[in-house]
Amino acid sequence: MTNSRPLPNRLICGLEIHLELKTNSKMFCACKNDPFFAPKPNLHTCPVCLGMPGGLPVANRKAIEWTIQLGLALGCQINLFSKFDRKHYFYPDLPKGYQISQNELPLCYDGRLTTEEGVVEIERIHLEEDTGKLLHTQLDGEPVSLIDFNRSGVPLVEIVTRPMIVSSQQAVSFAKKLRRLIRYLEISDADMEQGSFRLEANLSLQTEAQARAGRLPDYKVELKNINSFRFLKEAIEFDLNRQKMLFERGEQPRQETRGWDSQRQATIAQREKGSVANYRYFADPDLAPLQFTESQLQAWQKALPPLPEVVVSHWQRDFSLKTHLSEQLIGTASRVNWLTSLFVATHEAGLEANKVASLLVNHQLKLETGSSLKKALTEIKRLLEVTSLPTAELSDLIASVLAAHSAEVARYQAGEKKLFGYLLGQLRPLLPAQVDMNQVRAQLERALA
Amino acid sequence: MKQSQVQAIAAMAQLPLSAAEAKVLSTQFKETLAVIAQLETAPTKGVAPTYQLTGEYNRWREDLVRPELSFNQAEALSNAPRAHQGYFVVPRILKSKP
Amino acid sequence: MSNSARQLNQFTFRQALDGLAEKKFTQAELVADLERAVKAQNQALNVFLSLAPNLSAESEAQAERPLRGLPLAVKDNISTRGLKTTAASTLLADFSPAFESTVTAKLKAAGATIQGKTNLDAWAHGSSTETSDYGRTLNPRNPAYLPGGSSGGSAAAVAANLALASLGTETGGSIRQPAAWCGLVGLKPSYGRCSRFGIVPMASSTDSPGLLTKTVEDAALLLGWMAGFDERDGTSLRTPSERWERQLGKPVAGLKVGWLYHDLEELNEVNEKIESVATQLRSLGIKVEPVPTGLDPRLAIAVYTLVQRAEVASNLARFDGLRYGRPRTTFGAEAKRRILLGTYALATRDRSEHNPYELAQEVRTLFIREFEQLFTQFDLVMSATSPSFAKKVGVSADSAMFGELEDMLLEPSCIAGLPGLSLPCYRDQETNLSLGLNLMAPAGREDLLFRVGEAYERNTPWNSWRNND
Repeated sequence: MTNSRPLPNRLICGLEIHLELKTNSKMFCACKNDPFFAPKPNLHTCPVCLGMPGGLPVANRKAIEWTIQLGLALGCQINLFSKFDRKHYFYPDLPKGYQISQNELPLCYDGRLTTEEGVVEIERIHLEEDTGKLLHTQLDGEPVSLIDFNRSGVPLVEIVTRPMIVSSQQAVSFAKKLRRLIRYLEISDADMEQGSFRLEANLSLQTEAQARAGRLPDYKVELKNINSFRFLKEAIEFDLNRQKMLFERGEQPRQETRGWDSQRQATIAQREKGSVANYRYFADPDLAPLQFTESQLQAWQKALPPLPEVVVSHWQRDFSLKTHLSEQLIGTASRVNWLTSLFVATHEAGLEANKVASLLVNHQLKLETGSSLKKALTEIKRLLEVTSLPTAELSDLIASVLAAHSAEVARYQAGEKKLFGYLLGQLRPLLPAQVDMNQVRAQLERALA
Repeated sequence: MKQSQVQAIAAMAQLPLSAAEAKVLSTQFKETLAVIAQLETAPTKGVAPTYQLTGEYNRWREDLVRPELSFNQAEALSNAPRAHQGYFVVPRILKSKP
Repeated sequence: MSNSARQLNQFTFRQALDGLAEKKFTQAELVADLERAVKAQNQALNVFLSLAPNLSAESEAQAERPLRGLPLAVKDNISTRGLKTTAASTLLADFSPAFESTVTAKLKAAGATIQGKTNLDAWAHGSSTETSDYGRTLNPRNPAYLPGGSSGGSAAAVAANLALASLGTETGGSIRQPAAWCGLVGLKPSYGRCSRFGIVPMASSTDSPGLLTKTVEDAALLLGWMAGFDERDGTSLRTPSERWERQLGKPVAGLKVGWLYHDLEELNEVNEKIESVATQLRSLGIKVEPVPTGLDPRLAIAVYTLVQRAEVASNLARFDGLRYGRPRTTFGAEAKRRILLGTYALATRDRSEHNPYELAQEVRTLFIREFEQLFTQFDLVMSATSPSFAKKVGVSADSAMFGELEDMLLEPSCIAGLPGLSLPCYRDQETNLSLGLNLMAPAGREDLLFRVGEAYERNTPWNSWRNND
């Protein structure tokens, strides 16, 4: 019996990112914001972030501004009127029994980020507070959880994409680009291992027809516990397959939350969540609503540093800097600012920006942001002074390397031309820093012929 | 109101309810609907909700750490029914976060 | 004041302050009299849940500060560092906060001391102080009656001269009503006037810390030290605190007072007495006019009911027994009921899929506007504080009807965040119980309350302490 109805086989995926802002103090109190490096648990707490009776929240202005700036950098609309809402649920790491978050009036909405695989739209960006951390262990044989509230109340930005990502590559590309932008804006370390950049993926399979009509499937699987870009790719691909196989067996994947288990290389269903949570949202009466003016928005927009893509094109325009080099050099906006002044200085000194960039990328040149341009110029000039080695000396060095790697030489001569790079790599450390690599390459080629 | 609905509310509030209590409550829940119905009779068209009696917006603070307003670890744990090496202790929860 | 010998605990706060300044007696002597009185009566009346140790020494240590070490009783839902704060619930029986509420910190900084923590309806959920987990408090005017609530312990402390003055909180009437039932002055300041930091939260959008005192002057004086902007409370008013005692004695002739609910038949018993109040105020040159009812006052009750339930349910979610307090199952029946009703209100959507809480906030706006409208015609508005005298202990009154009337008199000014002052306006010779007059002013205009209130107090015989000297 042939089933004429086509099976869902196209991935449709949305990402949800939680980002810890690196403000000095927490979101709603003046405790130190240091969740990862605090040497002991429960060092940075107070009546507010510990949920004591009588603790009251007061919003951190910088956290709000940074969230809006992130939104502007992602081309979002900003809600001129916004507010904080209470999101209720019970969990030991949630001291008030509700999380202060934003429901129907997030700070930012309708943005986009362009990846190599196409545009991904951002549905919303809102600001909330992080929870405490649970550590599972045993005490005298009893399974317990230990709670540390250092992280409770840390400002947390939630970024939600529209469900439109169509491949694991696109998901990774988006996540990487987003992280780069966040680090560029210097609002967060966005470190997945430290927990300041947390990824969740929602995925389902749709049929061709659904995809064409823009209709979403009636279920979605939530993937959690993804702490690296590699895991993101693997988890999506695994679950994509898992869902495909279920459909092939005539089953519908369950709407559930699954965690990525890197040991087992699989997504594992988490315990039953029960019915859909009713968070009983309402406007937090302890927090005044937010209202921004157009001129404030314009000021924030103006204060944004030029975005990475713009930097790349400016550097190309002004210094003929190659894109692949620029991409590697762009870290934070502060760094970019300083590098631009460096390139201006080297340009004026008649030095080629690409050469300077290469020195930086290859770590032959290490320069602190803000260090003396004069000293930098001197160092650069020294490194760029290309000297030719006496041919005889170079020949000897080449000969010794080829002798030590006769197997690779044989393979190269048999046709594995890729091994040229390897042999060159073996030779390089033996040569002085300021050697003319063109000369070296040419001579090595001759020696191998 | 069905018993299951009443128990669902109790579960949301993390409060145990006996069958007798649930019965009484289900009547009182209905009364809440009457209160809401009453509110709906008011002329609120085009009226903005009062979020803050103070009428203020943008009450926020500068991003400064104020150690004098924080607890030290001992103070934080001073009322904990169970503590261990600086942590609060709770029996292992099996269900995941909602 | 039947004793022949003057006991220092019978003084008003102001009289005690002056007495200390004039070195007529010492802190130690005053504290000794207070402690003696507490020892004699606390067991029977059940006023104090806990008493501060070393009160005498602490009081003496503050002798040179503005408030000269004078002790204040504090409602037990206000956090006091190192002193148990139970909110009259067994759930918090062992809770000793490691932080101080702002209002007590300010008063302490001015040199006041904390005498002890007073009884209340558990979690401030009630208007009788009968639903305390630590037993009911009795009305010192007549122990067969209740003191009102939820600040019943604070009211009884002052009424029985066990305290010179006390702190309370009001969300839906919890300062003014017990003040009326116990024959005292009860001040609910404007919302945001005093910081809520450190107060066990009930309905965040209306909770107002305030005072229960023997005279209007005491309330004016103490408010000055208690009020003020608090950076830790995002709803606290930016307008600075004032020396409100300077309002006393300012002329009142020409002021206009609107009389609310004058025509409600159910209020006939008390309205007769309020009629006398009107006459009295007119004799002082104040214009008193009855106000035709505009918005249905029962709508105010609906707003309060929904907002209070929702906010209470939310605010009590933090009590999970992990960081402090006993397990959540320790909640008493009334608290449980309110949490569940509030949870239901928040979980529900109305017919047009709106959040009922937001709907209530819209109706709230209507009441705020109505008051603003009234205050273009009148300087103050007034009503009876309570529809009747204090209720008898153990008598199950027709609560439904009573509750609604009670609520109607005080809840509108609570939901609008207005300041209100209740002061005694009648005393029954047989029962020894009092009725209260409820004066309400525009937000931020406590000065008018004190001015008119003190003038009325001065020209009538209802205050027990005014003429102590």
